[in-house]
Amino acid sequence: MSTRRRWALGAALLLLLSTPVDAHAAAIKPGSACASQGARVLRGHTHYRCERRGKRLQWWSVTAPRVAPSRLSGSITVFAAASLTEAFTALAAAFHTVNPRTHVAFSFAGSPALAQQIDNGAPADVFASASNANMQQVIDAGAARTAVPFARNRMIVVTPPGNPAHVRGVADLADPAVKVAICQAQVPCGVTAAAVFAAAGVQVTPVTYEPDVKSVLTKVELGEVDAGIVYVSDARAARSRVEALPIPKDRNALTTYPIARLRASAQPQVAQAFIDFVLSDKGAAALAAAGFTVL
Amino acid sequence: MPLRHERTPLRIAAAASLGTAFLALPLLAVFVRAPWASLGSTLGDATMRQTIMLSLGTSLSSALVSLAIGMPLAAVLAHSAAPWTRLLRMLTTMPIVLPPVVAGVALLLAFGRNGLVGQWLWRWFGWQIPFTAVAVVMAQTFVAMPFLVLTLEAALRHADADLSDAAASAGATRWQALRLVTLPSIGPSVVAAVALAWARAFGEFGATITFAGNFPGRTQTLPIAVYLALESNPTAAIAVSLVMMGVSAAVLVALRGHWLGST
Repeated sequence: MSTRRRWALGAALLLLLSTPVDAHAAAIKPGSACASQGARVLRGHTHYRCERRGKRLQWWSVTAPRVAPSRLSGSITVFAAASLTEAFTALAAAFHTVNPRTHVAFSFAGSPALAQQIDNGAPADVFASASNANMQQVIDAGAARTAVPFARNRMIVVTPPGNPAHVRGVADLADPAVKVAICQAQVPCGVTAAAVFAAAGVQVTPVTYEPDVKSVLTKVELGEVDAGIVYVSDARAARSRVEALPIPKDRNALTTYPIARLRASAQPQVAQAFIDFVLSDKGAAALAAAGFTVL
Repeated sequence: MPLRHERTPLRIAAAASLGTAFLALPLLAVFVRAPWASLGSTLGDATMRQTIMLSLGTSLSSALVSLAIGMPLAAVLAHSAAPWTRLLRMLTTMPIVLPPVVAGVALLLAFGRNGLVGQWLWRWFGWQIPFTAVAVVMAQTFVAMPFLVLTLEAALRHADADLSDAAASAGATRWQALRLVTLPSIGPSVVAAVALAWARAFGEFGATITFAGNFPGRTQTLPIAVYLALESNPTAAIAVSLVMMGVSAAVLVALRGHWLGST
């Protein structure tokens, strides 16, 4: 062994002995200084994590997982309304953390299309619809027993960045010079948009009736229309790619989202666990963060 | 010596009947489930008539536009020996392999109000192509024209081999031979190519709904009507499907000399 190599070993040993965790072992308590962001230690029954608060790195206790990772395992397919895309994708990631042996796959589309597919035997375990009507269609066909409402969504006017047509609100959409995209009347967002127009007492003739709410958003984002009516959650998901003009609450319309386990599910336990997760506090928080009104 | 006509081996016949059943069963299913009693009222509906007329009008226009701009392209592909012809042929074939929705997005990015070309049309003339019948024709032409070009190119090459030598020996240049001899001789192929392009345009869905949107009487074509009706009124969707099948069958019968064998 060369001298240099021995030196290196010695230095490494020294470094190991002087690691900050050991040096500050006694000092770890909420608010005390720490060295490397993201480091974790266990003291007694409390987990601490090194986090940046303001300008300083400090130890803060994190709640330890109350239960061990569940033994639930299996894959499920969730058919969900297009407007749930962002919220449910985030929810599924959280669900996977709690249930690492499960896998959730999604099919996002317009609720009537999904209901139609389920009634024709599509292999789905859970259905989350953007309206009670489409859920009822599935229940009537005997594909699900009962459904639980879990969220509501209101409508909002969106325009391309810069609002080229200077739209100020729903009333401006009646102007023939303003090109508008809305959902077609067969999907829930089309029904709700019609309710908004009725509440505002305006007649709006769009240039296009899109098959689902995400297509409306795309046409607005690309600047091909001057305005569109989408769900609050979609406007939030689009961030700065669109400008949002809220509709006063008393003039707004909403749709209710029910969720149900499907009778054909081959993984009823995982399916129910996912539904319970959507209805849990964590689920509610994710939905609220996405712009939904949680029930 | 001509080959002796013999019976098809049993195994091949069995495999072929599987293929036949696979193609025929879905078509048969539409017939079985067709709402024959309410067919008249569904198709006689004013909106539906509008949709049928729009579909016929736009698909015919697309076929003719394809012919007008696709024929010269086919001639170049068949006659030019330049190295870039291969690149050109690849480009021409692209829309065939491209998913139609992608074609629709590409059209939006080129001819939309903020598109590469479209933004100038909008700024200078106030023209917006998307959401108009023109957009429907453009979407249909984009996906249908390659079929016409490839059919015509094959026909031109075929005719060329037989005739252009004769024309050349009579003192004609390559392009003269094409114009005076070859083109007139491929008349039937032109009809077949136009019909093929028309059929593709008539059935176009993905590019149309993406680029032209959906508005009854302006941009809603029959395939879009089928797709949307399927969600709310499956019976109407089947009725429209039946109409489209009828029209397609009529085209096949009219062109039986080309595709169904001449015997």
